[in-house]
This record gives sequence, structure tokens and C-alpha cells, in this order.
Amino acid sequence: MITALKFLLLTVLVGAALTLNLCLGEVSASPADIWAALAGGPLAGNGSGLSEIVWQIRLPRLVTALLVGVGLSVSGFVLQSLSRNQLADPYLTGVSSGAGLAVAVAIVAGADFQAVPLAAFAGGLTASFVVALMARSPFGLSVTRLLLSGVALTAICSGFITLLLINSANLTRSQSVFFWLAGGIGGSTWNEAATAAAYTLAGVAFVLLLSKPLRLLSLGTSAAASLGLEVARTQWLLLFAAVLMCGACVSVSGLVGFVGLIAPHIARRTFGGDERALIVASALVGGLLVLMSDLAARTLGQGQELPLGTLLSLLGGPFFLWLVVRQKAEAL
Amino acid sequence: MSEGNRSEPERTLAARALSVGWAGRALCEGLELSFAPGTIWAIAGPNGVGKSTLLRTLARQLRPLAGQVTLAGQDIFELPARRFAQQVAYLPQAAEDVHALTVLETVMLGRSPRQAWWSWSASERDRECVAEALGRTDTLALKDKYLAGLSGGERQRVLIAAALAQETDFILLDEPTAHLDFRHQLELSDLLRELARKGPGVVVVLHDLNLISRTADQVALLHKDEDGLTRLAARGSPAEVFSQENLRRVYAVEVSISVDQASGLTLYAPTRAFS
Repeated sequence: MITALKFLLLTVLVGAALTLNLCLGEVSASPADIWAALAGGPLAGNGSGLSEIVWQIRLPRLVTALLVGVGLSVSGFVLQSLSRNQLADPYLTGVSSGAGLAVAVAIVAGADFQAVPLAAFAGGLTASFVVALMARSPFGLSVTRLLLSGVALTAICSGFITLLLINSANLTRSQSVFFWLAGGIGGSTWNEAATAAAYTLAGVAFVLLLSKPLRLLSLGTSAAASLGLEVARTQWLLLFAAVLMCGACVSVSGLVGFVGLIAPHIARRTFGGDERALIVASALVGGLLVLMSDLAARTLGQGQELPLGTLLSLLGGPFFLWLVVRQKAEAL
Repeated sequence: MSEGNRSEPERTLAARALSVGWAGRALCEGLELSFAPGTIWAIAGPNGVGKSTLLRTLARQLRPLAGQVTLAGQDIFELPARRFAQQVAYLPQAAEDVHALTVLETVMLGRSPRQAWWSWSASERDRECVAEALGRTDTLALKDKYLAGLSGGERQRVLIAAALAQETDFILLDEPTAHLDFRHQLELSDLLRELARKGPGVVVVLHDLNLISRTADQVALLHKDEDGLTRLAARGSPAEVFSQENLRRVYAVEVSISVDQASGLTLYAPTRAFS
């Protein structure tokens, strides 16, 4: 009953965040005007002001923000359950660093701007594949080793990125690498929204389907196996889903850190219930965090957008600290 | 359906010429053991002989280096994990970390080998089994508590309840009395006796000779030979296996054996270690 109320509250918050994101911006409008523009359909305004802004700028951006939050959070939730480690974060798997390096190489080499998401995706997937290979063990996947390898790979890739930036003769290109690394979803079109939607929604559905095996795995591989789970196969499937979601998110948003770490935490600490509830709660909390951070990113700066990743840290960080401190009585 | 070896009695868990070890290095060699429902077997022996490794192999968690483990005549590694889990439950050595589940949720997980892999819903039968397991382990009153908040003895009883809810022919336990005080050790011993009386075969790794002799029907005593490989030193009832001579050979200690008049229990007191 209390859980249902919490979910209701969370849904209302997400709804409010969606509305705010639609209404606020360089051109602010009342919810009624926005609703009229929405109800009119994408072609109603014939390219006129508000309809164009809502349908071609704010809506795709808002959908992207929501889905990036959802994807990274559920990815984080899966990795934390698999590794039984509360510090696990999608970016620790090496996905972000691999994507970052691939993007840096592509941009510095002067690749077409359209190719950046593709490079990010390929780089992220390659990195996570390398890391996962290192994590193989006779008893299935050693997720601790996976995270350690991910951290090492992240350090290596960061080194290469720095070298690239220092040695690049083209200042403009170096700067766009920097912007990409800072993370942001400004200028998202329906293309980005569709990519994020396809991978994130498929990933979340898949993880929900595997939520019971995920609970068994959170007992440890030995206990899970003794309860009849094919441990290695299940671990690989869940890891694949986590990496795919994270890779897709990184490819549309650049490096948006932190949300994959804190959203699952907030969900676990404020919501009870089984893994299904926690997955949905993580998704909603993550979506809410990114929506609010993106709203701040595009409205707080004077004429220039602030980096989304930075705002996310500034917004989520204190809240996260407060949660940790409040719960310190329990064994952490 | 399983095509068991005809000569093999049904519902038997057996080790055949079994060698177990880690990363290709053998620890135990040539083990021949056979466990039947309704009987409590203790696996005993000094530290490092490979008791837990043997139990992990019997529990289908570790592949044998040679030989095989059979269940009703069938190689357990040829059975799907799920089928095996419907017949054998395994409690690993007490893990240090506790997770965020309640007692009821934990015991209900024991039903998962009999539920659809994706399903969260419990059948009438699932609920009955869980209620019965909670009752038999005296954990019904704890059912809504979180596992993290329980004492060591309570947690062990809950884990046994989960294994019971699994409704298996065999329950394998790795040092279930570790970190328990006297009283809780005795309670656990009584619980295991009570369990075996009702059906499943129990195979338990235990250290304490006194506890073994009051708990187990049969003992497999493991011993590390000069070549560094563990073999079966003796098997049989605790009274037969725990002879002064066997204990001297296996543990390199002098043990005084006496019978307590009041309880009728045989007591083992190590008096001197050989250098």
C-alpha cells in the first residue's frame, strides 16, 4: 500500500518534470498552449513557432533525456545486483571509456559528425566485450573481476584520449571532443530519441523478464546454481542487456555519469518490494534525475547550455550524500 | 525420463572413483561413496583435506577431475541444473554478506527449482511447503524479519528451511555449525536428525567429533596421504570410524574416548598432538 503510494508520487513527479521540460526554455509557454500544440499534431503549425519548438526540439529532447535516465539506471541496477556491489556503475564496465576513445579518434580524424554516435556505440561495445572476456571464470562470470578490468581499461582509454587531445593540431576538433565527453543531449532529434527508445525499452523489458533469475544471482553464484539456475548463461544475458542499454545511452548523450550509480541506490532505499518493483523504480528515478538535470542545463545558463553531466552531479550528489548519511546506522 | 543404471538403487547419490580438486590440481582421489535418503552422513577430516571441495563437487558446483557423481545412476553433470536442484539442495559455507530479503522471501526462493524460471507467483503447493519448512525449523515467528537482522543460529535455521522447501531427496550442508555456540550447535544437530527421519539424505561437513557422533549415522573420514592426495581413511558408524588408532593416523592427535553415563553419548577429548 505504501509502496503503491510511493510509486504514485514518483509517477506524478516524472509527469511534472515532463511538463516543465515542455513548458520552460528560451520560449516559455503555458501548459495549455503546449497542450494545444501537442494536440494539433506535428504538422498542424506548418512550421510555425510553438508547434515546431514542441514537436521538433523539446519533445525529442525530453524523450531522449527520459530514456537515457531509464537506460543508465536499469543498467546500473543490473550491474549492482550481478556484482553484489553497491558501487557498480555502468561506466565502470569500460563502456564509457571505450566509447570515449572511439569518439575522440573519430572526431580528431575529422570524421563526419553523423558518425559520432556510431563510433561511440562500436567503441563501447568493443570495450565491454574485452572486459567481459577478462572476467570469465570457471564458475561463470566474475563480476568483481569485470569491474576491476573495467576500471583498468578506463584508465588506459583516458590516457589515450588525453594523448590524442594534446597532439591534435586542430583546436576545434579537440574542443568538440571535450564537449562530447562532458555529456549532453542538446540538439537531440527524433533520430537520437528513436535509438535510445529502441535499445532502452527492449533492455528494460528483457531485464524485467529476467528479474527472478536476477534475484537468485543476488544471493551469489553458488546459491543461485544450487537453486537450479544456469548461472553463466544468465549472467551473460543480463550483462549483455546492461551493456547494450548503456552503450546506446552513451552514443546519444555522451558521458552522463553518476545517474547509473545513484538512481538504483535511491530506488533500493526508498522502495520495498521485489526486483520487478526495484527495476521500475530505478527506471523512474533515473528518468526523473536526467529530466530535471537537463531542464537545469538548458535554462540556468545565460544563453549557453551547461553540461548535463556536471549538473547531474551537482543535483544528485548532495541528495545521494544525504541518503548515505541518513542510513549510516545500518551496516553499509 | 532418466535411464538409470539398473544395478544402482534408486534415489542414491554416489561418488564413483571420484577425483576432485581446483584448476586441474587434484586434492582427493579415488573416492567411493554412496548416500541414501533417510541417513545422515558426516564428512570429516583435518583442515585442507578437501571436505568442502568434495561437497561442492557432489553439489554439482565443481566438475570432477576424474570419475563421476551419479544421482539414481545418472551423471549429475548431464542433468540440467534445474532437474538436479529438484533433487539435491546445497547450503554453502556461511557467507559473510547478508542480503536484503526477508525470511519468507528467502525460504520461498527454495521453491524456485519447481517454479517457471521467470515466474514470481507462488502456487498453493509452494505456500504449503514454505509453511511446513518454517514450522519444522521453528522460524515461523521470524518470517517477516530481514535476514540481515537475525542471529547466526536463526539465519542458519532459515537457510535450512529454504533447503527443506526445495523438497529434495538430499540436503548437502557445508559446516552449518561454524560460528554457532554450544546450544545452537546442539539444536542444529537435533534439527538435522529430525530432518533425516522424515526423508531426505543429509550429507554434512562437520569438524567436531562429538557433534558428529551425536548427529551422524555414518562418517566418511578423509585423510591426506604422504603423496599429498586425500583418500578415504575409513567409513562406517561414528563409533567404528573414530577409533583411537584412526584418529591418531588422520589427525595426529591422541584422543581420550569415554562414555558419558548420564547421556550415553560417546565423548572425544583430544589430549596431545604429535609433532
